Amino acid sequence: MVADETQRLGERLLELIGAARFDELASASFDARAAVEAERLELLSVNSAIEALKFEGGKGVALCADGIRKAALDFSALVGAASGAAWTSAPEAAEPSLASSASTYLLAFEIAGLRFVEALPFIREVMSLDLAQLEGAGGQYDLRGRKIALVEPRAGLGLPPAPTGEGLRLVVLNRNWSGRQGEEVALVVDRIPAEAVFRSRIGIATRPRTRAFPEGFLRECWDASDGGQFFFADWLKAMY
Amino acid sequence: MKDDRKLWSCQLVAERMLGMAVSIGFEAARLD
Repeated sequence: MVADETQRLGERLLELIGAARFDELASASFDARAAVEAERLELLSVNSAIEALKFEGGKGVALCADGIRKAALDFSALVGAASGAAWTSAPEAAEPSLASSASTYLLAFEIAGLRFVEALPFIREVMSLDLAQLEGAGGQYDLRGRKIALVEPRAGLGLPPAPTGEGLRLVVLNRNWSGRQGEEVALVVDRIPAEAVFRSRIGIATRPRTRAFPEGFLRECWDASDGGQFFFADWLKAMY
Repeated sequence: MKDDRKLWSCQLVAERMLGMAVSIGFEAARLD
C-alpha cells in the first residue's frame, strides 16, 4: 500500500512540477496544489512508519519510512506548508519511569490545541477527512466498505467545534487494545504533522495541568520535555 | 511560474520518492 501510494504521489508531484515549468500553471495555483500534496505526503510518512513497525526485522522498510519522513519534511519546507500543529519538533517524556528502560514509538495528534498521544502499534492508519463527510456520517465511517465507529470527541469534551475551511484528519485505531481486526474506531482529529511519530521512554503518570477531562476518559497523562503534556485517552468514553 | 530553483528542489523530492517506492516494493517482496 505504501509503495503504491509513494509512487502515485511522486508521479503527481512530477506532473505538477512539469505543468508549472511549462507555464501551464500560475504560481498561486502551483502553491495551493503543492500544499495539498505536502499534506498527503505528511500522512503518507505517518502511514509508512506504521507499516514499517509491522515488518519485524525489516530494517530496509524502516529506512524507506525514514526516507519518506525526510521527503515530507523537505517538501513542506520547500512549499511553505505549515503543519498547523502547536509543536514542531517531537518531544519525549520529561520524566521517564525508572521501572522500565523500554522506549516505544508514539503518534501525537492535536484536537483543539490539546496534544493526545497513542502507541503506534495501536494505530492502523491515518487519512484526511472533509467536514462535509463528517456531517453526513451518522456516527459511522466507511473504511473501504467496512463500517466502523466514528468518534468526534470535541462536543463530548466541551471543546470548540472544528474550524471550517481546514481539513480534518482521521486516526484509525484499535478500540480495545486487543489488536483484533474489525475492532477499530475512526477518531476525528486536527492536522497530524510529519514529526508526529516519535520515540519516547515510558513516562511517569501525572495529572493533567491545564484542564479537567470527563471521569475515566484519560488512561494516562505524562509531562513532556517541551513543557506540555501527553494525554492518552480511552476514546470509547468519548463516543456517548 | 519561473522559480526554477524551487521547482528543481521539488523535482528532486519527487524523484527521491519514486526511488523509495521501488525500494519499498523490493523490500516488501523480500519479506513476504
